[in-house]
Amino acid sequence: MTVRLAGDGTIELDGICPIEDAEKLQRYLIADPQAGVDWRSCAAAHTALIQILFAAKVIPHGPPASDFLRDHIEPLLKPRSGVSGPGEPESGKIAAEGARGGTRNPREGQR
Amino acid sequence: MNDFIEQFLIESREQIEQATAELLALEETPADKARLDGAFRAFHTLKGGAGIVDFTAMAKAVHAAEDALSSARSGARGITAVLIGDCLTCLDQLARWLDATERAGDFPKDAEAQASVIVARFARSAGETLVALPESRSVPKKWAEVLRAKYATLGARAQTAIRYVPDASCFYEGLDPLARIAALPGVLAVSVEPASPWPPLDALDPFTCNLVLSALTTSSRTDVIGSMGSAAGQCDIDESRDEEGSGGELLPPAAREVLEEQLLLLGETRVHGSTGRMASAGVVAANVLRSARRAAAANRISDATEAALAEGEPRFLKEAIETVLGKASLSEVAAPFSPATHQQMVRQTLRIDAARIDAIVNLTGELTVAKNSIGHVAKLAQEGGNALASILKDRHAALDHLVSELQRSVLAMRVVPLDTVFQRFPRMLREISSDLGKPARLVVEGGETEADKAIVEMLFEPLLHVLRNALAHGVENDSTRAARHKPAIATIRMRAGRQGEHVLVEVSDDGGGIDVARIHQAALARNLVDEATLVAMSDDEAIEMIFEPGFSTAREVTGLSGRGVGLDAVRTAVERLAGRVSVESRAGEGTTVRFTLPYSVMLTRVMVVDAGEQTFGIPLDAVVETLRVDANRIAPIGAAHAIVLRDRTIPLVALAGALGLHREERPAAEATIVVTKLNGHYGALRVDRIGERMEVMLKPLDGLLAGMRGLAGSTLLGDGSVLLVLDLGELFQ
Repeated sequence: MTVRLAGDGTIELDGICPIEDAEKLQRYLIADPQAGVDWRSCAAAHTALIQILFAAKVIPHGPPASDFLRDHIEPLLKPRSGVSGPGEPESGKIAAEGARGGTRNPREGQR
Repeated sequence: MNDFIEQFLIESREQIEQATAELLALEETPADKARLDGAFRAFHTLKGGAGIVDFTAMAKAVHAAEDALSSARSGARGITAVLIGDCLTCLDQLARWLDATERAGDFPKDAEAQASVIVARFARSAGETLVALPESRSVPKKWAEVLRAKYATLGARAQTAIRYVPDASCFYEGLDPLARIAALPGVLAVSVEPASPWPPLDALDPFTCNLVLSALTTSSRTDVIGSMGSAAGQCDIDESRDEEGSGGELLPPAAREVLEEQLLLLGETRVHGSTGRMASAGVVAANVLRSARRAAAANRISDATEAALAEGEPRFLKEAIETVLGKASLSEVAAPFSPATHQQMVRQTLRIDAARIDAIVNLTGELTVAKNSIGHVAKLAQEGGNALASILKDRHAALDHLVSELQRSVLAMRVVPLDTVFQRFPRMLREISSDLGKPARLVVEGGETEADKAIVEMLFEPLLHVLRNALAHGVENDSTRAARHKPAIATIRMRAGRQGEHVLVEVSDDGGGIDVARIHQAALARNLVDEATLVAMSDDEAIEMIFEPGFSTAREVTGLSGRGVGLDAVRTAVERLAGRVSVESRAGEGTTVRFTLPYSVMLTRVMVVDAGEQTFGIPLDAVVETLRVDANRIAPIGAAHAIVLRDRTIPLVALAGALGLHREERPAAEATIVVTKLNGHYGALRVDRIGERMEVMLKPLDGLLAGMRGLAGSTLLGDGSVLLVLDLGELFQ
């Protein structure tokens, strides 16, 4: 199980996430559009899972454990304009939250 | 068949050989641009030839191959085993067509259908690896510009931009598109966009890919294609080009060709209508450059066109085009088609029908005979005390000298480099090695060594046989090789060299060597020897048994070797041309099979002997010594005779008796014996008298004599008599 629900309802991506878990990620996100995604221990994720993150406009809590995801994918999930800069991930998330109409999980900010 | 077609057949076969050699070399070193260009040129020439003789099917097939190679040259297609394989298949088909054409005198009727198969083959493989769509080259790649602009800070480091639109169903095919991008060498930046706007999350099919992935990398287009592998077909790739520095080499070949054409067109522009030609050449050149994304160069051409038109001077435009092509690329493209170089080659070589050469060889042989007869006359004159004897002898000496020279020159005409046979083997090895699943490479050395055409042609079968054996029996399987710390890819060497009047050809492998214990077993099992003999045998002698008829240690019969046609066939073929074959093996290190062949087939040194009142020649190569022995030393052994010489028992054959000649039973106290050695076996011939040694032109026996046992051939002696030359192998069998 590389995709699982944490006790606080956060969706965690752990290890190498195969395509088989894409459906589960989608199901969790549909069930709770406000659920945060934590991919700090994600070492790799199949394109199908990344695609769901893009489609759900989720900004996962990072950085992910994979260099490629951290360097090249995480920045894309963050807003491309606005006040955020490379050194200010948290403010970027807040800006994104505002810009994207509050699709983010409010609990994300509490952590 | 008309001369045109005849010429076409000769030239096409040469080009097929050339193309095969280049393709195989290219497979070895895919980065070798010169090989790729060479292969491309050979196909190009083949296509041209097919066009001239109106062989449309062939032109069609070759065109498909040429296209594929052309994409490989421009980097749109990788140099893969599939590409090389397809091109070789195409060449095979061509060879079959040429053979059929030669037989029937006209092009084969079913060629069109076969050509379609070849074309389809290339189309299929192109689908797998073709990257740049034809139109993508002419349309400026907007996406690449946008991507580069977005990551402008990366600047020139971002050499190649890639836009990857995976198939919607690609997840089902086990593809992970982002992983492909992540695996690209030197990724600098990645962009991910939805292919169509994202649906609400609950309407999204998680297993349908709706992404367009783009990336900028520091690596080259070729590396990107290589890294993307099977996904390369869904990619658009844009490699940034340093326009000023690159000269003509990055221009696609098709574009270069068009530019060359414009140059030719301009070259003729001296008289009427020159303005129109200049204008059109300028427009064509500029358009070609724009479609090849060389905007700056295109603009320079446009400027030059204007200048040329204004001044009425085509030179401006010509020079501009030449600059764009770059000097190097100009010569590169021009070389194979340049009429000047072609003419030079024609002047240096002259094609002559082999039959005409043979006619001259035969005449020279007759001349040698005539010369020898004069020598005979001179000798008679001297014995008769004739005053003219010394003059005759002098003239004979001069004639002897001239005839020898003539003979050498004539024989040299029949000499061809061993490469003519060697070059067929890389291809053979490729097939045998893939059939057996034993990876191997062939190293050919000394292919420039020359030998008589008959020798070189005869060598093909024996060498192929030895090559198969080397792979099938010599080279160990993967695990054994690994255990012996040998490279996974076996090396087979084919070496040739000249040694005095002989040509040496060796085939060696780095396999396990010959298993002497297995030879022993097999020899016993096949009743080739008895145990006692076997015990007395050295390992080398035991190994020589592999050349015995009926010997084969192959445990399993494969399609390649072990078909019962053993190495004895090899030995027979080689000996027919007065050659020898031997084998050397080192356990665990490899086997070397060595052919020693005469440089020319015609001259044989013989020793003349008399037996039963007739004269015979014994090939001098086989003669070890001549001696007179006490007749008592010849001991009967069963029905045969033997003689003990230096502790060695040698079978003895009385020549007259063996040939069924009238046998004069002389109770001579002494016997004259010629000791011979052939294939390691000693034999003794009892003769009546030993005569002179001479060089003769050996002719194979024909007619009634052809079936006679123990005779290898005949030659005419100076006094007009026929000298029969013995076949020692048959005599001692």
